[in-house]
Amino acid sequence: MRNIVKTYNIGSEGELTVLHGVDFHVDRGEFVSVVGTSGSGKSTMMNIIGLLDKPTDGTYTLDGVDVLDISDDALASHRAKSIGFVFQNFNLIGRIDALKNVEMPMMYAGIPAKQRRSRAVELLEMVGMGERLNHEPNELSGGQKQRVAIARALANDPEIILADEPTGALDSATGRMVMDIFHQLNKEQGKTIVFITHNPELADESDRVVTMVDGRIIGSEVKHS
Amino acid sequence: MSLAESILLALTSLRSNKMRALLTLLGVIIGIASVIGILTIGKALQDQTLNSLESLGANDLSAQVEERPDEDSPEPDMFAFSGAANSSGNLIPEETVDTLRDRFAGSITGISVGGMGTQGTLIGDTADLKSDLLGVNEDYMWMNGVEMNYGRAITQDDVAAQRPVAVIAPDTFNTLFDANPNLALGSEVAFELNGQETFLRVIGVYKEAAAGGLVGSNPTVHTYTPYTVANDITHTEDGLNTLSIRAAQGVDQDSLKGSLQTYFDALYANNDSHHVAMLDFRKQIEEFNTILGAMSLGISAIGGISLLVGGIGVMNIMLVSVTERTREIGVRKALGARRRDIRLQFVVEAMIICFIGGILGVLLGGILGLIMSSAIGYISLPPLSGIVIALVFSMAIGLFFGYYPANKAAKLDPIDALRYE
Repeated sequence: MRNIVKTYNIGSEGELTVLHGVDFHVDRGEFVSVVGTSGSGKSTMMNIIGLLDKPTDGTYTLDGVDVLDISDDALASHRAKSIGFVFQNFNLIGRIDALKNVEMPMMYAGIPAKQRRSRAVELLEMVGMGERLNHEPNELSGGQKQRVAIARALANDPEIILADEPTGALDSATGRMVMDIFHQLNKEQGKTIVFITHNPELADESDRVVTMVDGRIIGSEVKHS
Repeated sequence: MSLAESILLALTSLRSNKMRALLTLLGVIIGIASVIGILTIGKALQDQTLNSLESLGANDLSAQVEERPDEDSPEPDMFAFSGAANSSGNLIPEETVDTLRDRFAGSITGISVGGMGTQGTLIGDTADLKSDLLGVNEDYMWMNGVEMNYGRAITQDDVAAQRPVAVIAPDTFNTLFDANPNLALGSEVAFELNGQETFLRVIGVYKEAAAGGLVGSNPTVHTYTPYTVANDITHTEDGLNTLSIRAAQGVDQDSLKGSLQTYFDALYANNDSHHVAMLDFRKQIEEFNTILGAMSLGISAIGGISLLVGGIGVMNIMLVSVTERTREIGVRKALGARRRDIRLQFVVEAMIICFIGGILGVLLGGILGLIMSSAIGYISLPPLSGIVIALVFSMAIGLFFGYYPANKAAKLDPIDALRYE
C-alpha cells in the first residue's frame, strides 16, 4: 500500500485530509499492530485495508492484485474470501444464533449449507464456544461475543484478519483471552493479523508496531521476529 | 446467496417483529379480502341471475304477435304486452307450429307454446290449494327446465286429442295426495275457476326447481295441462299469441331469426293491423353481463385502492426496517454481501409480507364471499383465477413497494452503515 491519501468532503469548505500519503506494507504471516490516538487516522486506514473504503489517491495491492480499480461486487467477494473483520463492538447480528452468525460470510461466499454448518461448528469449538452454538448474541457475554466474532472472521479461511480494537470493550482478563486467540491463529495457522489498538502493552506483543500520528506513520518498530 | 436462503432470512426477521409484520399485513389483507369477496359475490350473482334467465327460456327466440307500429312512432318496447293481439284472426294459427317444424326441420329442436298462467283453485278431498293453470304443449316443459319426478310429461297426443290431463306441482302432490305417487297418478283433481270445476287426470308430478330466483324463494304452484284444454277452461280463443323457438345446436340464431321473420311476414302480409315480431334475449343477457362485469370491476378497483394503501404501508415499514438495520447491513457488507444480496434480502422480505397478506386475504375474502353469497341463496366459492391473480398481484405489490427500500439498503456505504448508531 503506497502513498495513500484520504480526503473527505473534497471541494467543500469542510475539506479534511485524514491520511497524508501513508505507505504501509504487511508481509504474509506477520502480526502487525497499529497504534495511535483517536483521530490519528488508524481506523480510516483499516477501512481502506479492509476494502470498505477507497483512498482518494495512492495504490493498494492485495496479494498481487490491484484492488482499487475493481467493481463493488468484486470488492465484496474479496472481503468475503480474503479478509476477516473483528470489530471493537463485535457487530454480531441479533436475532440469529452464534452458528448462523458464523455461517453468514460463507453464505455470501456461496458455500453449500451443509459444509457451512460443519465448518461453523468446528470454528466455534475452536474458540471455545462449542457449548453455545444456538445462543443469540444478546444471551452472550462480551468475551463470548468477541469469540463468536473471531470465529466468524475465520469462516472463509481469509489470509488477513483485521482487528479494530478487539479488546477495547472487554475487561483485561477477557481481552487477554482474545489476544491469546490471535497469537494462536498467527502462530499455528500463519494468519496475517493487522491489530489496531491504543493499548501499547498489547501492541508490544506483536511482531511489529506501527505508530500513527495525524494521518502519518511516524514509526515502525520491530519487536519480535 | 440463493432464493431459499433469502426466504429463510426474511422469515427470521419477520418472526422477530411479529406485531409490526401483522399490522403491515393488515392493509394487504383488507385489500385482497375485499377484492376476493367482491369477486365471489359477483360470481354468485351472475351465476344465479343467468341461471334463472336461462330457465325462463332466455336463450330461445320468441315470436310474438304485435300491433304494427305506426310509421313515425318510436321503437316498440319489446317487454310491453300492450300491443299483444287478443282478437282472433290476429293470433298465430295452431297449425303453424307443425308447419314451422316441417319447414325448419334441421334448425329447430323445439317450439314451446304457453306461458301465462290463470290462477284458480285445486279442490282436494281434505284441502284446497291455489294454483296457476298453465296451458302448454309438449315442448314447453323440457324447454323451460321443468323435470318430472313421477309419471310422465304432456305429450303431443295429449295436446292434439285435448285430453284433460295435468302435471301437478310438488306442493299439490304433498297437500292433496300425501306425497303418495300411487295415490296421485291416475287420480282426478278438480280445478275451479270462476265457480266452474274441470276435472283433470294427474299424469305426472314435476320436480321442485333448484333454489334461487331473484324474486321470492317461494315457488308458484303450477298445474300444467295441454293448452288446448286450458283454452277451453279459460274460454280463450284458439290461436297462439307467443311461440318460443329453440334453435338446434350449431345453428346461427341470427340467420334463423331472419328466416322466421320472413316466414311470419309472409303469413301476416294481408294483416293490416298486426304482425309477428321475432325477439331474442341474448342482447339483454350480454348487457346484463357487461353491467355486472363493470360493477365487479368498479368495486374491485376500490379494493385495489386499499391494496395500494397497503402497499404504501409495506414500503413505509420496509424503509423503517432498513434504517433500523443499517448497522446490520454494514456488517453484512463487510462480511462479503454484494449489493444484490442485500437488495434480494429486503425485496424478498417485502414480498413475503405481501404474499402472507395475500393468502390471509384470500381466506378472509373467501369466507366473506361465502357468507354473503349464501345470504343471496347461491353459494359460491371465489373464482380460481381471482385467487391466483390476487396472490400474484400481492407479490407484485411487495416487489414494487419493496424495491425502493431494498435498493436504498443495497446502496448504503458500508462504512457509514457500520458507523451508524
